[in-house]
Amino acid sequence: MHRSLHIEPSLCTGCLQCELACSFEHEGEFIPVRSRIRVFEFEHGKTSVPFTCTQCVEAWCQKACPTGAIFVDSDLGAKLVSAQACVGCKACTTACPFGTIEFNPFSGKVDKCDLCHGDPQCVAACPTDAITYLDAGATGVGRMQAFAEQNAKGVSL
Amino acid sequence: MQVEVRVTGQLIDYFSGTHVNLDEGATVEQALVVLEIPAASVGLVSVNGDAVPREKRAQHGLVAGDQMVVMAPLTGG
Amino acid sequence: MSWQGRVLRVNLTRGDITPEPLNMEWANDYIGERGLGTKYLWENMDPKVDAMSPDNVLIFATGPLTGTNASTSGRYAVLTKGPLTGAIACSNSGGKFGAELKYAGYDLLIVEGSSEKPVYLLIEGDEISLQSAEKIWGKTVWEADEWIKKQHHNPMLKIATIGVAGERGVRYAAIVNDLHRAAGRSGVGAVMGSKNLKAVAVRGSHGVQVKDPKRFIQVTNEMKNLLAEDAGGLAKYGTNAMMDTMQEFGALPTRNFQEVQFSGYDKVDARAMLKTDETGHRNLITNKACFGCTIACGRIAHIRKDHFTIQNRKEYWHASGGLEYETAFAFGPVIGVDDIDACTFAGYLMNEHGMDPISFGVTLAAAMELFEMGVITTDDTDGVPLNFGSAEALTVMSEKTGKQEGFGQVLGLGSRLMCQKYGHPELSMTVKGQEFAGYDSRALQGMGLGYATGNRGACHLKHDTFEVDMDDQSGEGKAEPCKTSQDWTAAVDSSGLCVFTLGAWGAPEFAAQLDADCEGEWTPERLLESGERIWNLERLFNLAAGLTCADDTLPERLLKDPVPSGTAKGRVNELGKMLPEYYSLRGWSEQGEPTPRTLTRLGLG
Repeated sequence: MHRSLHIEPSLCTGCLQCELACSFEHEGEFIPVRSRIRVFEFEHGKTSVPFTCTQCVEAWCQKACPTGAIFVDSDLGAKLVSAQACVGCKACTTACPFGTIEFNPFSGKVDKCDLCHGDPQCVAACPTDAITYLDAGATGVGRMQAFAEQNAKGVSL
Repeated sequence: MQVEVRVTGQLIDYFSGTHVNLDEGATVEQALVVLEIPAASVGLVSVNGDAVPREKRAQHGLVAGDQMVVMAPLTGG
Repeated sequence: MSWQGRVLRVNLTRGDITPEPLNMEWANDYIGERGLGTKYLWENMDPKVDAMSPDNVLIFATGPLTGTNASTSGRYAVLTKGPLTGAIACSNSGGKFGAELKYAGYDLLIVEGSSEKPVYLLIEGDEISLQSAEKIWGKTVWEADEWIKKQHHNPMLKIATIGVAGERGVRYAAIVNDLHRAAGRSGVGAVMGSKNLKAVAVRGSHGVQVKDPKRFIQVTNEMKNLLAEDAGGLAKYGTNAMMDTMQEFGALPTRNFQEVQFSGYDKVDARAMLKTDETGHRNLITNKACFGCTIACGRIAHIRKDHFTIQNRKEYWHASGGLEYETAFAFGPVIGVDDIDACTFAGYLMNEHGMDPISFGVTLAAAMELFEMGVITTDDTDGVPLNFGSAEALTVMSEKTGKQEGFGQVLGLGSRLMCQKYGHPELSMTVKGQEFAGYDSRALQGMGLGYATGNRGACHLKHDTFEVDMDDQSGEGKAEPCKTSQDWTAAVDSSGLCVFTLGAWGAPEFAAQLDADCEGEWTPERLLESGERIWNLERLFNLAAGLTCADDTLPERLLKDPVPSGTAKGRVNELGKMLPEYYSLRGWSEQGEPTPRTLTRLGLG
């Protein structure tokens, strides 16, 4: 079963533990500027929204890449970057409408969310379950349940 | 017997009522058990405006109509 | 490892920007943040200089755990000589700025001298420059933050800035970072303003490494689990959960510390913030975390749009930082106000204009007492009656003080100078010139001792005698817990983490995290000893600045006027008994000076 990252902004407190975990996992140090997941704040912190690669099935980045460096891990459904094949042309960073693939000036390659071999560290680090790793075909179930609960409160037997 | 109860701070998550029914002569310590408020989570109990020190909770007997306040610990802020 | 090993020195007089290596000997003895910043301050300035002169030094200091994944790893401290007190100022803040400074590659930022023209410091990766602040001088904190991000096309910049209050030398002006977090006390913002430094804006490109990555992650995860079990009600209720406890206990300073209980408390406490009113409006929107924090005690709130303060002012209809305990006490009970929207609006103004709500509220309380005594009249106060309980007085004067208009210029002096000006110094509820926080010293005796001996003046955060104070309302046995908690808190304040972890973590938990993070062996004993060293160095700074044991005192009201109600009814603070015992425990003379033996033992001789 493919899983995807599901983000529930209403649960996000803006703690940035996801950025810390992601950068540590990939870089071996705490360097949020290199995190593949980022948290954005709006309205003086009223809303905090983590965002990262959505692992498009038909990925703009993959199509734009001239060397075929972006490939699919068929187990995870993740789009991964081959460091050997990547030449740092950055065509993918222009092609991705979400901006979630980013050039790394230090390595000369591009970085993106790779779902951490199926054990996403951002999910492990999130203290409020604002980020979860769910069945890719059922990410909306939690929200449906929340609304159903509201309806259940109004039902008399 | 009935004793009036108020709780403060986050202790409201343990008990949000206004009264508790206790056996005659129940102590403050026993009252906390009935209220299901863990003793370690309590900062101070006062009865009728007077503080009951921690070590006296097991001895201080309550009477009907007493006003008991169960206070959360103080932290910084 | 953990420390970046570099300090950034900026001389505003010359316009020089100079990185230099971190003094590792000092780092090992003073840890970081508060301790290390104090050591650098001690070594880089004469404590006798005027706090508003170019010779004062302003330091932004991170800790070794700042920027790691330890929970609450966003803290930093601002160290300088405080214009409010003439003593050392050590103001702690959260938000995101501190971590970003670490990611810029620096443990400390040292600012010396003063600039001829207003400037801001910009750090983008390894590009560091002083930029002209002429377009934002005179602008609010929020305007400056937005402008700088737009100017440099960089929404990821983290910015610490002052408002007009800091520019114009309000004695308790604050440095606000990330819009609604602050290095709030002692006037650190006024020092920044005196240097013509409007803001420090940072986006770092470096990382923070730890000594033993595998062990570090293991330990920090364990510690996070401990916190999750025991964070109390902070996430749900915020610190304002304390107000009803303070009311019932009878230590809630009311109407300039004349009383200790306030009948309107339940209109401005944590439960009031959670009540939905008849229009469907609820004050609290959600909670919020600082960088790295898994507690998330921050409040995001909003004000009723039809409230008299903002009904015609759309610019305040947005959400922003909500009431913490101290803000609620300072805008509620201590001035007798029970209007939650007025209190929240005043809180917005504190962040927008960059001021300490505690000092402002307690100064306003003194002004209200002067007004009700007839010492000042509406002729003095721009036609605004300053009666206790007046939400209008609160909100109008918050704005005037932030903008330094009219009577706001008097309020901006702080209560000590204001009460001296009007011939009633006894009405200033301060220690060393700094206003008390929301705890009455007569009902909480150890708190009173901590206030009186605090190195930065009246401060509730540098010691912790809450448990013994609640259990025993007398002054007996308070000196030892006060002294020990002062040393311990100094160590915590130097680590880069937040004191709100102390409900769940003690010395072993802190030592375990530091030990996996930093070179060398870090034990609980070493932490406590470092804390004692830091406390004594702060004391030496103050003694050199001209303070004496005569300044370790409390206002007459708290020494002489018995508490009128509550569980501590009838009491006064027993400082006279506690202080000699405290000095003795500290290894100080009867005049409150560290003895040569104590100094040698701590390596300060």
